[in-house]
Amino acid sequence: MNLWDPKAIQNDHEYRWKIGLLNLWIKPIKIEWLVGYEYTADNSDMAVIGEPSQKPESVQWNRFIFSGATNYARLCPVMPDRVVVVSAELPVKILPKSSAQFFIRIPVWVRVYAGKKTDTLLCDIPSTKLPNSWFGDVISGELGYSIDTHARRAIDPALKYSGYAVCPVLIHNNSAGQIDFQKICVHVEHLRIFAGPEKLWTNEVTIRFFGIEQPSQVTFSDEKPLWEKGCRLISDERVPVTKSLFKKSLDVLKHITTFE
Amino acid sequence: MANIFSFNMDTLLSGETLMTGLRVVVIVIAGFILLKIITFTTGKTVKKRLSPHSAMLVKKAIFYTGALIIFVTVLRQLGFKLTALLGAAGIVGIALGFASQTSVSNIISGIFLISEKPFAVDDIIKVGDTTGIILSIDLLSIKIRTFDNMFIRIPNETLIKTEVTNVTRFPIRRLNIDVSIAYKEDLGRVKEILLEIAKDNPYCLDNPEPLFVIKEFGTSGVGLLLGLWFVKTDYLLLKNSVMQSIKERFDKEGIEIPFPHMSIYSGTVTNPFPVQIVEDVCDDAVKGMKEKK
Repeated sequence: MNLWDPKAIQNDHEYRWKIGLLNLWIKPIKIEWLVGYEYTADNSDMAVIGEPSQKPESVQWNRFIFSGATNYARLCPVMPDRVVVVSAELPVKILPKSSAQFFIRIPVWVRVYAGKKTDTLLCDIPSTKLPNSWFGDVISGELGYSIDTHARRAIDPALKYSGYAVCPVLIHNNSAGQIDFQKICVHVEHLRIFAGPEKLWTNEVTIRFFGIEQPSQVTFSDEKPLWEKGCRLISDERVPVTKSLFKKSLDVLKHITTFE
Repeated sequence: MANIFSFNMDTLLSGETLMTGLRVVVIVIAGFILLKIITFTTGKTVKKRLSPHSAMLVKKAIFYTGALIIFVTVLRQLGFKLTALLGAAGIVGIALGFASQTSVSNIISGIFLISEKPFAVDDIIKVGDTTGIILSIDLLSIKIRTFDNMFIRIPNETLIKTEVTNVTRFPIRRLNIDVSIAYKEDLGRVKEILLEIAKDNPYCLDNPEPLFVIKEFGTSGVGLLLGLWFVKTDYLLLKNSVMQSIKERFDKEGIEIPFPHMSIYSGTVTNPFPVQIVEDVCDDAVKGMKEKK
C-alpha cells in the first residue's frame, strides 16, 4: 500500500504512521478526530502506514472537530511553509555562461486529511524538526529553515529518502564573473510534489544569476520531473506563482560579525 | 459695519439680516459636510500611499485649511473687513507665538521626525529610561505603552534632542550573554557546550552563526560572550530558554560559574600562608575565661 493513498481506519482505534523521523497517531471518534505526534531518533527509511498502535502516554492528543463522519484517513506531503536554506556539498564555483544542476533533499510537511479526498484538512506537521535560519544580511532578508542535507550534483542511492522530496535546481551563471556561493535559498512554498515509484520529487527550479548586486531570476517548471518515470502529481504548491520571481537566492557574501 | 453691541430687534428681524443669517448657516453646514467628505476621501487615498502618521497630518491639514476658508467666508458674509481683521490677527499672532514656543517647537520637531522616519507605529523604542511600544505619532508628541502597561507621552522636541534606540528596526537581533567560568575550566570544552546549547535552541538562528568570544581574564574568572541571533519577536523566549539551558548544562558537566571572590597569597603560590600561634597569650586567655566561669 502506498503511504499517500487513503487508508481505511475504524472508529475508536489508534493508528500509527511513520514518515522520516515523524511518528504520527490518529484516532477517529466519529466527527471528532484525535491526532498526536512525536519525533523519533529512528531515521530508517521504512515507512509505517496506518498500523494499529497505541500512542505513548508522553504524546499529547490534538482534537479536531468537523462535520461529516468518515472512515478514511489520508496523508499528503507538502513543501515547508518557509524558504529553505541549504549548503552545497563542496564549495562551488560556476564560471561565466555556465550552468550546474543540483539535487536537494527537502524534508516534507505532512498534511492530515479526514476522508478519501483532500477536502477536510486537519493539520500540517513537519516530518522533521528544522532549525530556523536567516537568509540575507542583518538588515534585511528572509526567515527560513536550514536543512542539514546538501545540494548534490547527483542522486545518491545510499541516502535516505523517506520523508524527503528531491528538488532539482538548475543554476545558470548569466553574469560576467564567476559565482562562488556557499548557500542556496529555495522558495519551496512555490513547489509542487510528484510521487514517483521510489521517491518524491518537486518540479524543477531554475535560477538565473546576474551578479552579486542584482536579484536572481527564479522560475518554476510546469512539467513533471524527468529523473524518474511514472511520476504523478500528488500535491500542489502552497503559494501559486504565475510569473518568475526576482529574489536573492545565492549567498555569495561573507559576513563579518563583531561583538561591540 | 454693523454695531454688534446695539440690540435693535427691528434690524435683527429684517429680511436682509435673516437672509444673511440663513446664508451663514447654509455655508457652515454645507461647508463642514463637504469638508468631511473631502477629508474622508483624501484620507482613504493617502493611507495606501503614505505612512499612518503622514496620512493623519494630510487629513488634519486639509480639515484646518477648509475650516479656515469657511470661517473667512462667514466673516465676509457678515460684513467684516478682512484687512482690519488681518491686522489684529498679526498682533495676536505675535503674542501667541511667544506663548506657544514649545508647542511650535514640538510641531516642527514632529515634521522633522516624520521626514527622517527613525521609527514607526508598533516599533519598540528606548528613550532614556523609558522603553515601550509606539501607539501613535502625533503633531506634538508620541504616545507609547510600556511593557508594564503604562501610557507615556513624549514631546517631539525631546525625541529630536535625545538619543532614541529603535529596538525593532531590523528583523533580527543578537542576544549577548555574558558567561563567567572558573580559571580551572577547559575553555575548549565550554565553547563546545555553549555552541551545542545554541544549536539545540529552537529560537536561535543558525545563520548568522552564534558568536563565541573570550572577553577577558577577570578577577574572579574568565569572561566569555555568547552572541545568539534571533527573530526580533523571540527575545524573551530565547533569553529564558538559553539561560536555563546554560545553568542546567553547566551543573550537569560540573562547570563552575564563580561568584566574585579574592584569593590571598603570602608572596608565592607554592608556599603556605605563614601562621604563628603565640602560646603565652593563648594560655593566659584560656585561664582568664576559666576564672570568669
